[in-house]
Amino acid sequence: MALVQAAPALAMPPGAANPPVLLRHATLWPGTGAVLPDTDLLLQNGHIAAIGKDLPLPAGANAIEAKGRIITPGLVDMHSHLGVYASPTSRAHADGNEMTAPTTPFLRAIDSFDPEDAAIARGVAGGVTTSLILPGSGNLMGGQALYIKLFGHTVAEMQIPGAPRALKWALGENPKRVYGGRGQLPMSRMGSAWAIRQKLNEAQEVQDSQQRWDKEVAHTTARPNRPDLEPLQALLRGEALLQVHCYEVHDIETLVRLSEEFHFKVAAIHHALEAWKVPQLLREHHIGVATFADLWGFKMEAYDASVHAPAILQAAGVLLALKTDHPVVESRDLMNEAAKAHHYGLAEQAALAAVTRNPAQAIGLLDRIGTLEVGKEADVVVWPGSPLTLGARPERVFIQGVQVVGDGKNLQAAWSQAVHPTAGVCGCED
Amino acid sequence: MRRLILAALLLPAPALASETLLRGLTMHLPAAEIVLHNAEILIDSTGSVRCLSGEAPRLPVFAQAKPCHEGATEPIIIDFAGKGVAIPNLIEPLTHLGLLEVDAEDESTDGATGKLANTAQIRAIDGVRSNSRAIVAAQQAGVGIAVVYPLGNGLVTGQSAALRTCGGGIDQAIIRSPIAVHARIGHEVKHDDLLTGSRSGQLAQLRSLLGQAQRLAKAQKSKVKGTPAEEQSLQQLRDDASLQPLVEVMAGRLPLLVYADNADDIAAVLRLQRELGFRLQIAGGAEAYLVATELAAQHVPVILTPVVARPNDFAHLRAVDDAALRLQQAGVELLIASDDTHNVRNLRWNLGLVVHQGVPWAAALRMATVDAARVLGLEPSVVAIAPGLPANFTVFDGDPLTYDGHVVWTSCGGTLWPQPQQR
Repeated sequence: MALVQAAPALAMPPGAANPPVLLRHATLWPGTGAVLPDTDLLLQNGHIAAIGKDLPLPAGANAIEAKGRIITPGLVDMHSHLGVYASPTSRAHADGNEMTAPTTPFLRAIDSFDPEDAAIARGVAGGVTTSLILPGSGNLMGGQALYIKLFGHTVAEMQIPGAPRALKWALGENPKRVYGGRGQLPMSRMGSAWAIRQKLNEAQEVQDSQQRWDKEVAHTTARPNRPDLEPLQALLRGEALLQVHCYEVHDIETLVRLSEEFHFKVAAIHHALEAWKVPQLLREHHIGVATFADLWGFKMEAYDASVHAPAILQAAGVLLALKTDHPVVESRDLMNEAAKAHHYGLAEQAALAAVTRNPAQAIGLLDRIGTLEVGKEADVVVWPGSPLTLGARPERVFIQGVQVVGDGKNLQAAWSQAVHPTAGVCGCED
Repeated sequence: MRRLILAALLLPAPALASETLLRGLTMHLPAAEIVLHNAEILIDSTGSVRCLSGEAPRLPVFAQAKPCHEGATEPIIIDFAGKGVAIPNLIEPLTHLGLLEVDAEDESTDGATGKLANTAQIRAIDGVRSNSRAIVAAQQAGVGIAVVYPLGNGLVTGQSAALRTCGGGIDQAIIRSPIAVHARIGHEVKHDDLLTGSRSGQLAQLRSLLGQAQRLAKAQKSKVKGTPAEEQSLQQLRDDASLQPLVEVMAGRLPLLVYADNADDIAAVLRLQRELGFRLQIAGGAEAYLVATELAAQHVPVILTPVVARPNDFAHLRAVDDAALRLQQAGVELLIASDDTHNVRNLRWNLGLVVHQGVPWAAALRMATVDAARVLGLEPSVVAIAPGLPANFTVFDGDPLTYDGHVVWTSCGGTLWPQPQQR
């Protein structure tokens, strides 16, 4: 059967096929805490090939004068619902919360993700190049996260190959509101902790029985297998990163108790608007925090927030990230969260690290992205001035060496505009 | 003892034993359209401004060239060394401040959420809790006045009120109530009520309600008595408390504020205004720029909120990043709201985004001061800084409409806060 209409192909696949790009004479904010004035940055074969003064222009490379510009790593949004609550808001595309059972660790965000969400193009226009797409927080165990770069036509093109596994959980108000409201477990925090403990016990039993089976010389039964619990086994084996919606002190303590009981690690607590009260506890357990700059008051677990939290957590040595929780804050305003945190006392380079280096570490990708260092993927944002100012928007955004935003174009918008012909989707400055 | 110390930490400067002199200021006086450089301001022991001095191409009559400190008697001196930027406390024109403490907790909120289309008799002022943390957050950020409108998912939700954020009980805080009757067109209003369930039904219902109110307003003015049957039907309308505020609208004594984002919905409300004739204001306004010509021609102000709407809803798929600039350039009277309750403190940055779009800085500041007072029907003095008036201004250490400016001193209704804090 002939295709009536050929699907448009990606303008340029990220990676090798693109000509090298030499960004010249810029001020680099590499995300490591350093500031490198009058520095060149060479993007080649999808990676950062060189950083230095007066780099030679390779044959066939595009030179871009970036004097007076600030260049940062591509932003990493470690809590996003892009694609699982696609824009415009509709019942048909509300796919982030499978609220039919409180523990659904087996679900996968990839199976909900709509690559034609118009907000993706706006996110990359804000300098976001990587996002951790999480299921919602209606369930205690919401499912497994999806790692994407914000460029591509299909989820297969956007998904980051070789990314770690990540699980999303939620403690606190949401699950007990959803299920308690129906007279089901959990109606209380006690119920929440028990439901989690019960699932982890089951996963541990399967894990143990599989190990026993593997040691048997002759098998009389099939190998025990529980696909619904397999993601939790990965957590118990230390092979998955756990990202937990968790705001209040008593929820943080419950999570720590569970992690000690079952010997798993918590990568980060998310939203975490009371984390500023217990920074030592978080540092001792190597738990990162992914939070908002100044949102508060929308529910009890958000009532005791502090605008000084980012600075307090940073000073205490807690791994600090800011995130959007898109669509709560729009993906393209991630840098604005860092700018507000900076206003309230988080140092300039610490504010940048909170949306680049630190979230890259918390999602297990710091070896590939998150800073401007030779060998890392060429996810790079060029800003006309300080990105920590009100209303700052990127001039150019590169993902793996491809200029996705710049020169009045937004390659990603081409897809979403075809589906959702909305004004303002480009987000390109002039 | 401990209790006393704690109390002292939570309170503003102790009752003024002496005068306070602020110096080293650039002072913006939008009501007088003047910027005073090298300004000084002397506040007396009652919290009233006693003297204003500085340099400007033309000094207003209430300011003097001779520095205020020369007439002061041993004041407490706060010197901002030329880096202080003072602006009047801002007016937030659209918020649920005091009505919405913790959104998700019904016990902490107030507003009608039933199926009634018209609850115009509800007054926001009667539901406000004056001890709201969000009110403190707004005040400490230099927002001195908030127009609070009722929560609710009806078509006509009730009457808004203008409050000061300076503390004390409601009777101390209230400036004026009512400010406007609030209505809403859009899918947020949709519920099971046959008419209210659709946007066209909402318009039909609004037309019908305003028509009844118009009949009552005319009867109020008329000296001629109708037939007994007419009088009986009029009396039935009079007995309907929810119609009375709309009579005020149709008599021209109160504006009707309609919250709507979609350009076609706004156009429908504009048609209704042409048909029935009443003072109209539009709030929300994500797509209002598309009907800017009509809005300007009909002298309908827009309270834009949020400043930058996203095209993420079928009601406003045509949202753009520079709506404020487009409306302003089309000659529409424009106010800016923070679109928030807990972050009313960010109102100044919403004004900054308007500047970012290309609107002049002074025009943006007017939107939340002079223009807001005029559109909301408040005395111009509520945003004035002048001798004889209570201190109602805030000092920043940089441009207040950017992230560079931090709140370093504030006053509200004559109460001084030398060390403002955000929690």
